[in-house]
This record gives sequence, C-alpha cells and structure tokens, in this order.
Amino acid sequence: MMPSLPHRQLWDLIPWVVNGTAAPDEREAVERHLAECADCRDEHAFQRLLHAGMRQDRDVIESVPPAAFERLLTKLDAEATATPEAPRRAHGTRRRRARRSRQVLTAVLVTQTLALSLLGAVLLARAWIPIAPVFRTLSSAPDHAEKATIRLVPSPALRMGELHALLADAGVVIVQSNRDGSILGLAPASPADHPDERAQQTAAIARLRADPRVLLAEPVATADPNAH
Amino acid sequence: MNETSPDRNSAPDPGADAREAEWLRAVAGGDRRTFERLYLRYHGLLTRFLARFTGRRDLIDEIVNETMWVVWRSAGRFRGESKVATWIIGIAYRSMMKALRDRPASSGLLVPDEHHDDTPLEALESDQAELRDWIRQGMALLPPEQRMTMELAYYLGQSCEEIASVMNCAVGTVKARMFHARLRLRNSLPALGGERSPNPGTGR
Repeated sequence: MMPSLPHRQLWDLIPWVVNGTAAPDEREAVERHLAECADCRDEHAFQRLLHAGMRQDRDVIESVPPAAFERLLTKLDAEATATPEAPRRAHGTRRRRARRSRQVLTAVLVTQTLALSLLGAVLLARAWIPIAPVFRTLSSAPDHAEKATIRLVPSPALRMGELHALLADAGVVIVQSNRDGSILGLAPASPADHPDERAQQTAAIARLRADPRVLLAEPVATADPNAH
Repeated sequence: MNETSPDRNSAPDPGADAREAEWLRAVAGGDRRTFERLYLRYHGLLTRFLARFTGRRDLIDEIVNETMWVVWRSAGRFRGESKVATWIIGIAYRSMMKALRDRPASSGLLVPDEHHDDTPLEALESDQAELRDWIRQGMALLPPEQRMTMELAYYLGQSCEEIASVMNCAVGTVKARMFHARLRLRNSLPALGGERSPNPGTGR
C-alpha cells in the first residue's frame, strides 16, 4: 500500500484517476483520500463531469471518405518515384545511422574486393578469348533496343537473388537504374520472341504486380522516343 | 473494412498495442494493405480529435493524411518506447502545430468552432448538450498548451507520461499545465463545479 501522500499530491493525481491512467496504488491512495476530504471529492466530481462532457462525441463512428486514402496513396506513389526513400530507410537515429554507415562501408569494401577479383579474372580471360563487349557505360549512347518499357520499384526487403528470379519469371531484364537501385527500368529479356511488345509488357507488369514485394510496376510512356 | 479506434477507456484490449506494433513493422517493410488497416483504425480518432481544434474539414483531412504519411515514412523508426497510439498521436500533434505555424491566420486552429459538431444535437439530452457547450466555452479560454493537455488527457485518454512524450516536454510541465487548466476551468465554469472554489493547497 502506498504511504499516505500530502493533500496536494493527491489533488494532482485526480485527473489521472478520472481518465484511468493512474497506477493502481495511486488510485487506491486517491480513493482513500476522497473518503475524508470534501475538497477533493468536489474536485473529483468536477473532473469526472469534465471528462464525461469532453468525451461525448468520442465513440461516434465516422466513415472514412473513400477518396482520403486514395489521395494518400497517390502521394506515396509520387514520393516513391521522386525520391527512392522507402519507409524502412527513412530517418534513422544517429546511432542507427552510425551502425548503418559501418555496415555500408563493410559492404562497399567487400564489393570492391569482389569487383577487383572479377576484373582480374576478366582480364586474364581476355588474354585467351576475345570477348564482345556486353556492357554499356552510362556515358555511351543509349541503345534503343535496351530502352526501358517498365518502371519498377521493388520492396527494399527484396534481395538481389529474389529480384533476379522475379525478373526472370516475368521475362524482363534491368536496363536502367537510379543511383541506389531503388527504381529500375526494365525491358523484355527476349524481344524477338514476342513480336507484340504491348502484350508482353502487359503480361510482365501483371506478373510483377502480383508479387507483394513489388511496390510499383508501371509502363514507361513510349510516345516520346527521347523520353527516359 | 472497419477497424476499431484505439480507446483505453471504452474498449480495453491488452493485445492491441502489440498488434499495432506488428502492423508498424509490416508497414516499415512496405506492406500497403497493413498500412490501410492502420489508416482506417486511426482515421476516425484523429479526425474527431482534430475537429476539437478546428472546424475546417479540409484542413483536418490534410493533417490526418500528413500524419499517416509520416507514419508510413517513419514506421521503421518506431522502437516500442511508447504505445503505438501515443506515437501516432504525437505525430498528429506535431502535424497540427506545423499547420498552425504555416498558416496561423487562415487555419482556424485552436479557435473554437461553434458550428462543428459530429453528433446531431437533437440526439443528445438537453443537459448533455448544455454540458458540452459549457465545456467548449471553458476550454476556449485556456492557453493552447493547457487546452491541449486537457484534450490529450480526457479526450484521448493519454497518461501524464504519454502526454509528456506527445508534447515533447517534461512530466512536471504536464502536471503544471494540468494544474493551471483545472484552476481556470473551475473559475470559468462555476455552474459545473458548484459554487465551491478549488482548494488544492488545503491540508498541505
């Protein structure tokens, strides 16, 4: 049992007893005090009246305007397209940022090591086998055949291997990407196999949208041949 | 889809907070269906809460959506240091304060709205309607911080510590604001409290 508190402290506790958030021992102390203090009984009754009056409309069921959530979704889509910041990556605390920075630095180091190893292997291979260039630098002229027909925003939780499997299943490959790889431009993996590009695009988008790990999959406008 | 609003007093549900925390983790991973559930669960509560500060429905909708947009963006930051409800109410509070800063003249925020009413007047008993009107007038006389403290405590059922978290102030500040709000309301609403004057110092 809580030791007897001074009148003023018990008076301060009354609102929290009234709204049901006082600790059990505080509530008991106040209730004991009410039995012997007319001022606090009066105040308790007054606060209960206030509480009841303020909550008169508290339990009114209000329907959500159908357009309200749609407007928010539109904003989320625009945000996802404009800035590739997924919710899980937004605003870390300093500690989390520091930890993440260390993880990123480690990942960069490992990636660089792997890349150097791969480069060495490729250079060795080139000494024996002439390899046709299968890559294109960002500064080189865009190849029309590789123009993206689908814009994809995958969930940040999607791993690279899972992404590749999903894209292979949808029959598309990555031909464009923003800086951090959160927004991807896709093109048919084998355009020659599908003369009807529109049908192939529609089927690929349907497959991508069916996967819950895809946040956005939409066709890229093709009216402007210079659009990217 | 109907989601019951979180409410400590009318529908105690000890598992609600854990369930909402689970929802937030899903939202942090980009789960839009769960986000919609969370949106539906809080839309009514936040709308009615904000309606106590402004009668402009367009502004209320904007603040609610701004709040839930921040929830979507920041769900990954929630670490369970408070209840999910308190965390979301805190975001709504800051969104409302931002709206107040951005357009203090036109928002009508913290200005009592005589005409706004979610409940049809004829549906209420006359004494209840009178009580509500008296309280509305009394609340309008409070400084904004004291009024917000009262609304968070009595309308949303937040604890003293939760209000400190929402308003980003010390627990002692909440207690002081509540103390002064109570005195002002007793002085401005004598008919409610009877003719007795408050006497918190008696017996010290």
